[in-house]
Order: sequence, then structure tokens, then C-alpha cells
Amino acid sequence: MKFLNRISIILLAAALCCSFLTSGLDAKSRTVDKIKFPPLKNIEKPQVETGQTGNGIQLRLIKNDRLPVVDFMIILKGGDVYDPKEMTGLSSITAELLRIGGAAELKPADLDKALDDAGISIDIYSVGTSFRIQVSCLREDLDTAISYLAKILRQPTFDKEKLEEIKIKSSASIARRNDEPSPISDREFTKLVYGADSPYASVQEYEHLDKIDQAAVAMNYKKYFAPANMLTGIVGPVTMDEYKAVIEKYFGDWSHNADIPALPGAQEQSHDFNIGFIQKDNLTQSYLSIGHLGVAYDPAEDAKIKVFNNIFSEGFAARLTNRVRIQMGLTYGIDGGIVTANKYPGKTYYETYTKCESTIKAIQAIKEEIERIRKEKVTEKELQDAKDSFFNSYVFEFNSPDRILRTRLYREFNGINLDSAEKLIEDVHKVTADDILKTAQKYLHPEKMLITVLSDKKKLDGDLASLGKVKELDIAIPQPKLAEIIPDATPESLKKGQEIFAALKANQYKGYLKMKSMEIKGTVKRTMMGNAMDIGMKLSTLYPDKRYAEISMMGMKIEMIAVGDKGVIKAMGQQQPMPEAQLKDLNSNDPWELFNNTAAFKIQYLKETEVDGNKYDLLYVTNAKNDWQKLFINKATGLIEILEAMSAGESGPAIKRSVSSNFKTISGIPMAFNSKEYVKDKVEAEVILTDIIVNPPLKPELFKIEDPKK
Amino acid sequence: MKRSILILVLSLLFAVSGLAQDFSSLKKNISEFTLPNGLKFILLEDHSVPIIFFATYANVGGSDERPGIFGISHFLEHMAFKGTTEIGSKNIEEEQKLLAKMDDVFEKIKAERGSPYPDEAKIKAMDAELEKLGEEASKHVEPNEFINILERNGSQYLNAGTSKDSTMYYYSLPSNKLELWAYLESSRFIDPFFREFYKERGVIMEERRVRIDNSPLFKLIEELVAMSFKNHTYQELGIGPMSDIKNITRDDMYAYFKSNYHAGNLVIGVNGDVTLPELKKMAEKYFSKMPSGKKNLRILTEDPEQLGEKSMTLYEDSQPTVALGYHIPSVLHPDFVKLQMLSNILTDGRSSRLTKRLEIDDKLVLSSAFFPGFPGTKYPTLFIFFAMPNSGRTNDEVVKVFDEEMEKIKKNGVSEEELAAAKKRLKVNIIRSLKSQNGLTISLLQSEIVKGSWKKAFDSLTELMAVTTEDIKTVANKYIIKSGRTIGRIEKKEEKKEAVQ
Repeated sequence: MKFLNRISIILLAAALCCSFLTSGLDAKSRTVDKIKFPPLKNIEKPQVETGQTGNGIQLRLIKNDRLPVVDFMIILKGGDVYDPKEMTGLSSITAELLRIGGAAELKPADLDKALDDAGISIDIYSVGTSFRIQVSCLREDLDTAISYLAKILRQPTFDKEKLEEIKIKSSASIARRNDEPSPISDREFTKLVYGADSPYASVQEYEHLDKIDQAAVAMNYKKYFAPANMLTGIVGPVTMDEYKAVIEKYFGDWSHNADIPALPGAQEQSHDFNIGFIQKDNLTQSYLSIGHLGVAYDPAEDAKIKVFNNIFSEGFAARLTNRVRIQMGLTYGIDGGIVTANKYPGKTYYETYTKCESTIKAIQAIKEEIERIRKEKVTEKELQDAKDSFFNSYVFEFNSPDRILRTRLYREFNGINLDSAEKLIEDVHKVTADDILKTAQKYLHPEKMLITVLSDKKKLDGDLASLGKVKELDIAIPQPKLAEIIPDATPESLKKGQEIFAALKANQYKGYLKMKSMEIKGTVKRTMMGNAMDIGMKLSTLYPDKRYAEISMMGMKIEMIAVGDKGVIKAMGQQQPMPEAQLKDLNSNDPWELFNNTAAFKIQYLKETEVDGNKYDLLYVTNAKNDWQKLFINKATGLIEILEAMSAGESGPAIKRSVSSNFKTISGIPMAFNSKEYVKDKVEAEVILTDIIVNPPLKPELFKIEDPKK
Repeated sequence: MKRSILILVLSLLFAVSGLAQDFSSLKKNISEFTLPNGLKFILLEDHSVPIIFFATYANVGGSDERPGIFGISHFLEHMAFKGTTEIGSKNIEEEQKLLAKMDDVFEKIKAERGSPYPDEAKIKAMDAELEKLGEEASKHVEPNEFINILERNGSQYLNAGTSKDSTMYYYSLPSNKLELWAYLESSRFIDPFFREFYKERGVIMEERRVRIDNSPLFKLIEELVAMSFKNHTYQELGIGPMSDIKNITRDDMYAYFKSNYHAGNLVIGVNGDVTLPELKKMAEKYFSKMPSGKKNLRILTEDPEQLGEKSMTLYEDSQPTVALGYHIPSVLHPDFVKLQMLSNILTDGRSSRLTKRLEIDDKLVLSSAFFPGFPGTKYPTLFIFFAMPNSGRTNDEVVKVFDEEMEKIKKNGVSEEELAAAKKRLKVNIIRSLKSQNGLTISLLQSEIVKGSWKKAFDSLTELMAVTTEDIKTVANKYIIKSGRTIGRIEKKEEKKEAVQ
């Protein structure tokens, strides 16, 4: 059913009264000024039908028979902003694991295949203050699609391996977050505005991932996924009766209540600087953000803010674009505005990028425009252009049934009056140049503005300090912290640590002081890509810092050579530099350095501890670079049996624990022929050595790194 | 540049014509006419909402350029928003005089740059002079008028894009503004005035910096195409090298405009609330003055077979990324749709072969893609594979697994079941893509220019749905060949290593 609604009448009136305004030129002879526009046709806005299931699922429908496909959308309160700080990103992981973690009797892979084969797509994600679900399928598959969706939402199994898959990817995303420049400045600016601890700015770290397990996901899921929290909508060739029937069929007997916490607030932050600078070498462009905490949506202010943004920063014709891009040629894009979020303060900000050599010039131009719009009224022409643009483009709100439905769901979800569109049109008519001036003064506060600059300092066109107090921001990615808190070293704990270590050095392990080289051979057993694998290994070390490893797996030979802090990997006739983390791994687990260069380490006694019934003295050892390792010394045997350290890890950095056994004395030194490597209490690898030779003759050529450029 | 990927995706979805029942009614709503000067219009009527989408498609793009003016198609696309002699000026005579002076100064700058030992001080002085003249010229400019008129009349999706194959300009307006479009669109391609040329050069340089120079990923793509094409102009991404952007002249621009922007080399697509007679009336009134001309011929330069694997590694402050390029024929070749289907089977959906192996079974990559038709589809092009390994995993591991999967397909082909599922997914995607008729309009224009008729867009649907498992095996063996591929890698730069060198 179609009807002519009130909006189209208002629009018609608007189109008639503010007909095409001339551009202020006298030359009325121009063709462009003579074109007459007929009135716009009536907009036939499709009606949104509403319904509800017995257990409170809200149904909204735009029946549309044009194409044989159905788009089904669900919005639920929830999402990342509600996540506890120590588990940042829990809701994104919950959403993804719901989709891929299996449901009811369906194993994850079976579910993927069933959906793919039927051409049904189901996407679940966390966006701001909501979870969103998007389902699309052919009309004929609607029943099947909803049946799968119900299994997913009602009987998720949160498969452990799938959680691992997501965490591996999350971990890779953390590692990659500083690779491309533009997201960096955006992220750091948001952190300054809301505070790094605010859920509106929080950034996922490795330590958050460590805390997210199946139980945390299941608990988070239970809080939000419940029938009365589901606002749903369909566009497609479906009647309300059919819609209701299929939802009742698969969700009707679901009774569960959501437990949604209060939405967190946002406070203005105080900093003892106003410019955050981030150094990145070799950039040719600076990435800039400038602004402060903004305001939440307020229907009374909406029209003024919309017109203000249009004049100042939105679109190609706005003041900022005109000044910085068109007049000065300093950027390809500049945007931002008074961005109102729905229930919490948004950001009021402007951002752009420009060559390093025009950074300060661009910031100054933006600041000048901000000052100007706070001091002088905009011209009547600017005001009229902005209003015309608003009225004339309003018809696009009805561009497609999907857009109409989305807008409707969005308004309902955020508790916005459904008549707000009509009110907005009336309000825009009333906005004056004086209102714009007041809006600028009310919402833009130059004295509070924070600036972030991501650039290469040496190329800047001057000193940033000329614009305010600068603080250099550290964007290094924090490595996972130890689960336990290491107590500060005291003179006593250091003394005791050194004493215990000195005893080892004087007794069982004194052979290390005469060791010049070593060679070990054996097998590493580990599971890779789902298969148990035996990897042959030979490692030759010429102390202090030359290592050569030969690894054979699946008929392939890989060689690794490390000399000091330089390393290469050779395989399949190709040579690559060895990533720093792997280089570290290759050099770990060998206490030679500790025995021969003890002064370079800080050795702290932590405590006596028990593992599997054995008592250990626990030493915490750090070097000048603050790399740490923990040594567990068996109190009965005096052997270093357990060693913990950071490792590059298959799924990102992780703490690796090596537990040694089968000790034999080689050249007077106790050496372990077996060891198991644990990551998060899971055996990642088992090492079985067949040979350990102390002080073998090793040729220096073995450790030669060839320059690949030759 | 981003747009060309979008168009590729759209055309990929759409090219799967063959869903005869769903397209027959659509086809009936499409009509065309040609003005006496040769300018062709394609109309897709849709009266559901009083809006119209307009697209002008120029049969010229990055491929048509040559050294010295690489990037000019894209530069020209920017200049097409600068107005005409009538739109955008307060005093056109004064503007013309000042711009002529500026052109003279720039010729001198260029001459100095081209001398054996350029005098930098002299160039700097002339740059300052140019800037001063530019400020003077600004006084006679009605700022941003062309865009301003469109925006206050309610334009949406106002933008343009340049790819290696074409240049496209598009926006939507409320349907009562049909005549405004006809006037503005015809004027900008009949009577353009390249004002603010020297300032816009700065904008384009910033665009290059943000898109490519400061993005490790796009630097890699730029290198990959440069390595892959020995002779063909696909060797360059489209925005042009900084040095050419810096040296293109206004005269170059007018000459390029004249030979490429005429009735024979443009096609116009209109979609929305307008009837054929209404459109014809406006077309005749405003576009008849456009000079006629011959459609650009296809470039005949070809690359010989790539004789060996090429590779290069970029050391960046970035995690590793790998890209592979395999040579494949253009969209005109019957194998192209088979390669599209191969891509779908391998990468569309979590259960698809390559995605499943790389992301799910081996947990080897954060994300990956494998698709045909980059950097264009008009000429023999590349099948590109991209992947970002998970932390602690290497590019070489990824390549090894990728090769294994390719060997399996080359040896055993794919199953009937896999092919059927891929076709089903494609069918849903195609039908859904019809929700956006803007995308459809663009696909029709592309088909019209590249294949000679918009109707061909529908034909290739039939071809796609007819692809067999045998076809998949055949094209995999024919084109996914190690000895003719190109590999680009990003490896993490080790700070200390740099210091040593």
C-alpha cells in the first residue's frame, strides 16, 4: 500500500518557496540561471508494517515484490562499548563466534557449508552500542535461513578451536594496527578525547585476548541475546503473516531475559598538553586531527547542527574544503564536524592530511576557519545554499526500501521520535545566520581543542610547539604482560637471587664457563595445520652469538643463520631476513649467556614454588632491554628444570614454558635430552634430542650471511 | 583507483548474466538512442522514486597515456569539476589573461627543469611568481560554483573515478532537475575551463601521497603491476608518477581533452524517474553541440609471454604481506568468465577451498583475496592473489599452501557440488546487486564501451552459468603458472639491519 504522506507535502512546499537561488551574479543572461524546474513529483513512501511475537520480538516489514530475495536485519542492545576494560573486544568476538562456532548438532564446518551451499548469508557483528545481524537469501530459502539463524542464536556451541581461530586473527590485527598511517592518528586522537580507558576509545590488546575464553563469551552472549531485545526488520516479497509465522515457528518458544547494563558515560579529559605528536619515519605526509569531546543527539539542536556542518565541513562545497583543498591545494580530503552520537557525547573534530612540509600551515588554516565562523555570521547565500541542499536532497531518504527500513529501525533502536523527520524539516526552515554563529560559539571551543599529528618530525614546516604544548605519544604495541605481578626487586631479593645463581655457576653448571661451542641434534614433535609432525633439527652454536639451525620437515630443508642481532632464513632457494621475534626465539632457552655474562643480568629471587610435587626456587632474570625469563631451580637436584620466557608464538606473542627432563651429564654439564614446550597450559611442542656435543669444532663459514643483493 | 576495483566487482557480479527470468523484465526497461553527432544514451527507467542517477563514461583512462603525461586522465577528471567559461567565473576575460600568463611562467619552469643543470633558485622564484598570479586569478573565480550548484540542488553520490580502462563521472539529482543536469554535464564536456589548474596539481600530489606513497600495501600493488607488464601501459596504476603529475601542462590537458572527450568517445547512462522522450528532448537541446569524433581504438601494444618468475621484496615498517600476479586474457576472451568462476569457487564463503584452507584449517592468514581483472579488464590483465599472514607466520608459508591448493585443482579439478554451490551464491549476489541500479547502469556503460554493446553484459551471464568443472580445470592449468608469475612481498624492516647497510 502506498500513500502520500506529510513529508512529501512539506517537501513540495519547500521546493516551491526556495526555488533555485541565483549565485549572486548579475549575469542573468546565463543559461544556468534561466532553467526552470517543475515541482518534484509526490514521493510514494512505502509503509512500514509492524508486528510482535508472543515473546516480544519486534517485527518491521516493508513488503517489496520487485526481486525474489529477502534481506532480514536484527538490532540488539549490546556491543563492544559495554565490554569490561580488561576484555576489550569481547562483544566483537562473541558476535563472530556465534556465527562460526557451531550451533546445536551442527559442527562449525557443517554450518559454514550448509549456509554456503544454500546461498544464505548470515553476518553477526558488534557496532557501537549494538549487535547487528544481517541475513540475506532467496525468498524460497527464507524458512531454511531462519531455521539456521535460530540454531545459531538459541543453541550456540562456541567451539573452542573456532575461538582460537578468532583470537589468532585478532592477535594479527593488533600486530598490524600501526602498518598503515591513517587509522593511527584517528585512534590516538579518539584516545585523547575520551581517555584511553573509555569504552568509546578502548583498543584491544594481547592481554585482553588472553582473558577471553569460552566461558566469558557464553556469559556475554546470555546478557544480550534474548527475544525481547530483538528489533527485526524485513524487506522483500513477504507478508506480515508469513514473517510472523516463520519467526514464531523458530523463536516462539524461546524464553530468556536480557540483562543489559547501563550505557557508560563519557567525560571530558584533562591533559597537560594539547598536541599529541606521533613520529613515524619516512612518511611524506602528516595525518592531522583537531577537536574535542562533542555532544549527544538533541532533537532541539539537530537542525542547527546539520546546517552548520553543511556550511562548515561537509561536502565539496563546504568552507574547510574550499579553503584547504581548493584554495590552498594542501590536501585531497578534509572532513569531520559536530558529530552527535545517539546517547553519549560524540566527537567534534576535523581531520585531514597534507605533505609534511605544509603541516603547520594546514593546521593554522583550519584554526583560522574555526575562529572566523565563531566570530562572523555566515552569508545569507551560504545559509540558503545549505538549506536548499538539505531540502533538495531530502527525497533521497526514500531512495530505497532498504534505506527506509534501516532508518526506521535505527530511530526505534535509539528512541528517536518517529516524527522527527517532519520536525527537522520545519526546524531547518527556521535556522538563521545568527543561529549558526551561536551554534559555532556553543559547540566549537578552540581553547579546548586537542591536536594529533602523525608525521616525520624532521620534515615539518616549523616547530609544533608554536601551536601549543607538545607531547610525543608512544604507539608501540604492548606485549602481553605476565599473569602474575612481579614484586619490585629489593636489595634482599637481588642478593638472594645472585647467591642461588652463583652456587649453580660454581657447581653443576661450571662447565658452561669453558664452553666455546655446542651442537645438538634431535626431533621436534608438534601439531601443525591439524597434523602431528616430526621436525628434524640440528643446531650449532659458536658462542657468543653465532647460530646455525637446520630444520627438515615434509622433505623440505630450512636453514636459519643468526649472527648477533642479524638473522636470515633460507628455504626453497630463497633468503629472507629473520623477524626479530623469531631471532629472539632461536637465541632463547640457552643459559650460556647467563653463565658467561652474568653481570649483564638482573637476577631477582621471587619465591619458593611447587610444580607437580617438586619444590623450586624461582628466579626472575631480566636484561638491559627488559627481556625477562624465569628459571625454576629444583631444590632437591639443583637443576634448572623449567624455564619461562616470551615467545613469538604461532598465534602472536605468548608466554612459553619449557619443562626439561631426562638429564645426562655431558662434559660435566647437566643437559636435558627431553623437553616439553607449553603455551597457555597446552603442549605446543616436544623436543627429543639424540646428540648433544660440547665444544665441537665448527667452521666459521657455516655462519656466513650472504648479502641477498649480490 | 579504488573505483576501478568497485567497477570490477560490480561487473563481475553482473557479468554472470543468464538468470534469464530475472533479467527479462529489466531488459525491457532499458532503451537507447544516439544523437546525430554520435553521442549514445542508455536509459534504464525506474519511476519508483523521483530521482535520477546520471553517469558519463569516457572511453579513455590510464592505459591511453604515455610517458611524460602519465596521470593526465585522472588529472583531467579533477579538472572536470572546475566549471566552464560560464560557470565558475566572475570575469572570464581576466581569468583567461591571467591563466595564459601562468602558462607562460610554467613553460619557463619546465624548460629550466629540462635543462642539464637546472637552477633551483630560478625555479623557486618562478614558482613564487606562479603562486602570486594564481592568487590574482582567484579574485575572478566564483569559488567552487560547479559543485555548489549541484549540491544546493540536492545532488547525491557526486563523484568521479579514473581507472586504467575508463573515466567515469556520476551523481544523482531529484528528477525535476533533469534539465540542470543536461546543461551542466554537456557544458563541462563541451566548454570546460581548466581554472585553478596549478592549485589542483597540489591536490593530486596529496592524493598520490595518501593513496600510495604512505601506504605499504599500495606501494606493493604499484610495484607488482610495474613488474608484471613489460610494454603495456597497465604497468602503471593510473594516478601517475609524481614527476609526471608535476610537469603536465594546461596545453597538454586541452590537447588530451580535445582528442578524447567528444561524442564518439563518450557514453551516457541515465537511470531513474525519466521517460525516453523527456531524456531525448534534453539530450538534443544540450548535447547536440558536442563535436563528433571517432571512438578511441584499442591499444595494440602487447606483452610477450613472461619468461620467468619475477619477484621483489619491499622492506617496510609493516607486518608481512604477499601478492601474486598471473597473466590472464582480457574480459573479451571466453576464458575470462571461467576465471571469474574459479575465483568464486576458491574464495567466496567460509567453506570455499582457498579461504577454508588458509584462514580456517591452517589459520595461516588474517585475510586473503584472489580475483581476476587487475589493474583493468579491457586488455590482457592479471589474476591477483593477496594475503596477510597471521602473526608468526610467513609469506613463504602462505605461498607454499597456495601453490599446493592450485596443484590440487590443476590435477583433480573441482567437484560438481562445489561448482553448483558457487553458482547458487553468485545467483543470490547478482539478484541482490540489482537492488542498486546505479551499479547496473555503470556495468551497462562499461559493456557498451569495452564490448561494443550494453546487451553483452547480459550475454556473459549465460556464459558464466554454463561454466563446467572441466573448464575450471583447463583454465587453472592454462593460466596459474609459476614460471610466468610475479611475486611481491612486504617484509618487516629490521631497524638494526638498516643501520648496518
